[in-house]
Amino acid sequence: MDIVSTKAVRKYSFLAKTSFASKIAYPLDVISRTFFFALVLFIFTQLWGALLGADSSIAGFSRQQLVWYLMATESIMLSNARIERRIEDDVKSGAVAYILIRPLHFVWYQCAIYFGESASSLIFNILIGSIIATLLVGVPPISVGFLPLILVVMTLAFLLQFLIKIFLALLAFWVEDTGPFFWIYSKVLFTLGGLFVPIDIYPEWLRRVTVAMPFNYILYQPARLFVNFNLAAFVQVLGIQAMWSVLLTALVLYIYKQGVKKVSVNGG
Amino acid sequence: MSTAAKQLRFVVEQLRVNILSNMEYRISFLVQMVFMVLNDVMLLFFWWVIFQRFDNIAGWGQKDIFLLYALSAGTYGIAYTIFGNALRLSSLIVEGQLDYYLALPKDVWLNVLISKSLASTIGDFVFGVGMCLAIFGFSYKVLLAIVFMMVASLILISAATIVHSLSFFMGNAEQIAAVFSESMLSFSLYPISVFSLSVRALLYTAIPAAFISFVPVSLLQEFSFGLFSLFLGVAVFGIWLSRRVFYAGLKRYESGNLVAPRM
Repeated sequence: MDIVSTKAVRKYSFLAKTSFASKIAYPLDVISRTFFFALVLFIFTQLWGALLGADSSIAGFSRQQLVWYLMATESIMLSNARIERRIEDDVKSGAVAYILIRPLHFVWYQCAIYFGESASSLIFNILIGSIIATLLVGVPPISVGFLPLILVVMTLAFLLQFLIKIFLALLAFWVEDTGPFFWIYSKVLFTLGGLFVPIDIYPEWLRRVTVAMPFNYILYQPARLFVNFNLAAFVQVLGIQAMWSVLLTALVLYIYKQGVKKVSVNGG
Repeated sequence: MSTAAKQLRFVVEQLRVNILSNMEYRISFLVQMVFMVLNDVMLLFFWWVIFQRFDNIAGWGQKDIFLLYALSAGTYGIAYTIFGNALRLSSLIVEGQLDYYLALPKDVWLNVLISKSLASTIGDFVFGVGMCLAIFGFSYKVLLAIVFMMVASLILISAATIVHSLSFFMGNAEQIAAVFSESMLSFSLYPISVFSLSVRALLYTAIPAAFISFVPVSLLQEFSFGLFSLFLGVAVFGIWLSRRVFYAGLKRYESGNLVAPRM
């Protein structure tokens, strides 16, 4: 298949690299993002401090681990490139037709851009977040040797995130405004993804519902492995992430194929 | 008619026009409002989860926290429904877009702030009042809560205007204003007792978030004339200071010579 050939890999990697570079060209918005990040971590450090004593824990998480957990989930959340508006505009304006005539697949073209933009933000956010979290609660016992494995899980988390987002954005072929879908999705991530607290703290019935869905594999699972690595859990998470990725890829490609049939371009 | 009564009539009339212009796109207006209410309800999810495990957080029960959210949302709702332009004051200053207001025979400070309403913030107000009704039922406390929201909204707008007015003195203060707004909002959504003493001191002074939610909630739980006087005093002082800073800055204002139609 075209997308797995070396030439295709080189092509899409170049796109990702260009997006990476363009994202770091604007350092000004970095200031407010850093402040926001520091503010959230600071408030939660104080909150967990008021709730938990120095050596007590909740659902197996100490105060220090909870702060680092939040650092990881927020890093993923804040780094997630906002490609949805652009995709929706391309679909609605018919600009998608110009990508159709290029030697690129629309979905993987967007994927490369998404990964390029998200990666630059993620590196920055993890770096800043780690400094802030270290200043607030110190360094947790993270095994550095496992970090490459966590990176794999994080990459798949971003892939899942991309697939869900492009699926929602492609609905613009049928509906006028996909904004509400993204709004609902952001709330779903906030609740079922486990943005602020690990889902182990949720009531049992809700935890079961959450585990059965793909959203916790975007935030909760990578963050949990980051603060408390376990090889068996890693293998399991990786397997389920891969399964959701395959399912969602098939769904996205199907939706895209159906949607493209609806494109009609009137001149240029 | 006294000056105060005239100003109040002007505010009410402008608010009516702003709401009517928002309602021109009725469906979009309603959707934005409903989504804001849902957004506020979803924010309670975190606390609901926490209260499944803990009875109280630094002395605050679930009802107290929900009341904190109600007061905070209601205050933001009133503030930005009436003074919706406060959020973009620094960009108006930097881009030299105050000319329009300078040419009108109205108080510039007031006219700039009230000439826009944010449709979605009405949803915040609806949520705030709805939560108060859910907590207190049909009690006089709901009316009291609305009065407190109004007073707190004056403090919020005064503080925001002061920070935005920094653009008169130091060039573009948009980033500072954004950071300030974010801090005010974030701190007003958590019980003040979880913070250290130095942070609490900050929340009564430089970032007066305590007056947005904590003080009104305390007053609703146990009314005290002393605290209420302080609350009112801070609002009056805030408006006075905000106007002083704004007009001092206005003397340094440079027009953008922008020629644009106002629709």
